[in-house]
Amino acid sequence: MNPIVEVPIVEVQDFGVAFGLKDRPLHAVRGVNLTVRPGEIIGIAGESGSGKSTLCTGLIRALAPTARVSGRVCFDGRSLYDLPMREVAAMHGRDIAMVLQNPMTSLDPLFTIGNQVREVLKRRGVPGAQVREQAIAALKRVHITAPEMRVGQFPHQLSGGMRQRVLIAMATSASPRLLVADEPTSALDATIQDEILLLFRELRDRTNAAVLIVTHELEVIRRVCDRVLVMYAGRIVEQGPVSTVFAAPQHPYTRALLASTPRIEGTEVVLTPIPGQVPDLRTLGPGCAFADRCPHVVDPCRQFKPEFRDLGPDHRILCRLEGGVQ
Amino acid sequence: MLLFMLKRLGQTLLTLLVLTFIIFTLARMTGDPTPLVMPSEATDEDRQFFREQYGLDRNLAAQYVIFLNNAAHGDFGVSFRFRTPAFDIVREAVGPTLSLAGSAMLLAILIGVPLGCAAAVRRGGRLDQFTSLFASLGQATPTFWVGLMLIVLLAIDFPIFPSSGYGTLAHYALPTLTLGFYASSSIARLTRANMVETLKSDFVYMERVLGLSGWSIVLKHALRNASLPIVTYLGLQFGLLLGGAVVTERVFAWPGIGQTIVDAILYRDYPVAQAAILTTAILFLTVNLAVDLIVMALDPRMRDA
Repeated sequence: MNPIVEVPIVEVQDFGVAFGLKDRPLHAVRGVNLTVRPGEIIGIAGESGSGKSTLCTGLIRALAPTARVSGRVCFDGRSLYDLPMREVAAMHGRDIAMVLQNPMTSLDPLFTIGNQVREVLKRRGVPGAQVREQAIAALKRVHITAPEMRVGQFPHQLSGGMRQRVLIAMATSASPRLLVADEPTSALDATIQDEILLLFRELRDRTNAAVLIVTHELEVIRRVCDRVLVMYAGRIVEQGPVSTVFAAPQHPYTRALLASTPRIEGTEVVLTPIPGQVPDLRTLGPGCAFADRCPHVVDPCRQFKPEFRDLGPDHRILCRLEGGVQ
Repeated sequence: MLLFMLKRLGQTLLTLLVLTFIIFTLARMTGDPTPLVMPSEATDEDRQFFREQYGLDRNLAAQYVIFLNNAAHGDFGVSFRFRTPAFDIVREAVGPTLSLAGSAMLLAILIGVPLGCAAAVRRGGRLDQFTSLFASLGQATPTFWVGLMLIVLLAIDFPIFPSSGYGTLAHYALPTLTLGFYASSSIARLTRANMVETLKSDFVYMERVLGLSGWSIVLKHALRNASLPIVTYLGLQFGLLLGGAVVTERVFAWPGIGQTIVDAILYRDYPVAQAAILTTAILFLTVNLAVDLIVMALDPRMRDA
């Protein structure tokens, strides 16, 4: 697959999301520029409160109605926030799919798995006679064992991993062109995580869909993603191919984040926490949001807005330090 | 499931037993019925004869055992006041009470549930504000006043419905409106609160991003989930209407069980009071049992628990 000739599925320009009062807004996301191509798996990393979930839900126009959005999001060439909500709702589930963090609460507890999968299929226009059969086929695709029995069960009778599979089956039943997975494995056992992540790769390989995975676990990104976005205080501070970024992270925050994941050196488990804490989004100064925690901070960092700098093909950082960290 | 039913049935019977004791004691705390039943010129011997005839001269424990034994055989004794079997008097009052409570419940559900749903879906909108006002008014206005105002308006100024009594369908209109208004306000408020919560839940959000239709999300998924506490509350509300509609029954001269109980207590007519309260209790417990079964039918988690 050659990504250069493909038309992007999502194009984002200067995207921002604010909550709260008009005169005291809280900018959860700002200044995001991003291109997502079909068949790519992109990982979005960052600490809690970095805006990664807000960015993802904003990209598919599934934010709470209180959110105020700025900038432009084009899905398949159409400006998502200029379309009537009715048309966006029609794209949800069909062209755009989403998988949520908590599989335990994301299924209606009062209806059987089969009932819920069938309702989604009917909504996609699957003819009545085939709905049953296709529901079982959809469950088989996500490797649910004994799907004929599962369709008669209720959500509380299934494990968390099983429920997440059901949700993925429902979300991907129409072969979406974009799948957004918000912390899809955080609530699951480590052994189940791999199997769920594998499903995303299978979906991509089968339908050439673009997949966005939001996670705070860098391991997840390293294993399944092609490209990584690192977010800090509502901005993308570094983005690039996974191989490049993980081998040689350029933004000081990316470095710190990678160092803060436990790793084994010799016989010891080493972990370097990031000093300080995530800044309050309401009291950000004009300079770089990471300045107070950055080991390489220089005076201009606090006074002037950081600029994006391209470091290589598809690789850019939001930092004024020349050539990134040496 | 079967075990649950048996356990539930056992609980119900135990509740009833405790209740008989309370009713029996409370009835006797109202005082000696003899002076109220016997004419004032009756002699002391006459009074003593009355007490012996109805077993009131025995000690309380013996009286209780006899009462329990007879009640178990469906015999609640003879009314002191009317000299007819107490249970016949109660039976005649049960029909009017049940039908009035039923029609008021139906009206309350038909008004309260759609109103609460609509308010929750368009939170902060006009209809939501109206619902809040409606709920506050319904709960704050005394039912006797609502009843009297309805009589003034719809029976006197515009004589559309009969002001009081029992017999034809038209007689149901005003008491049903009175009780229905009261009950629908709390149902609307509860429905709204539960729907607001349910509409915030993860699975509703998931269904939205799955692109399901708004109608299906609200009416099939959200309402069914929100209905679990509502159904439980409806059971309680129905019980309240059974026993607590005394004021409304008074206002509309409705020959229901509430009036029967009040009169029986005023006249110290122990057999009728005991039979009427016990009957109300059995109806109440039956409704609650039915509610449990409905909740189990609605919620698969309950069936497995």
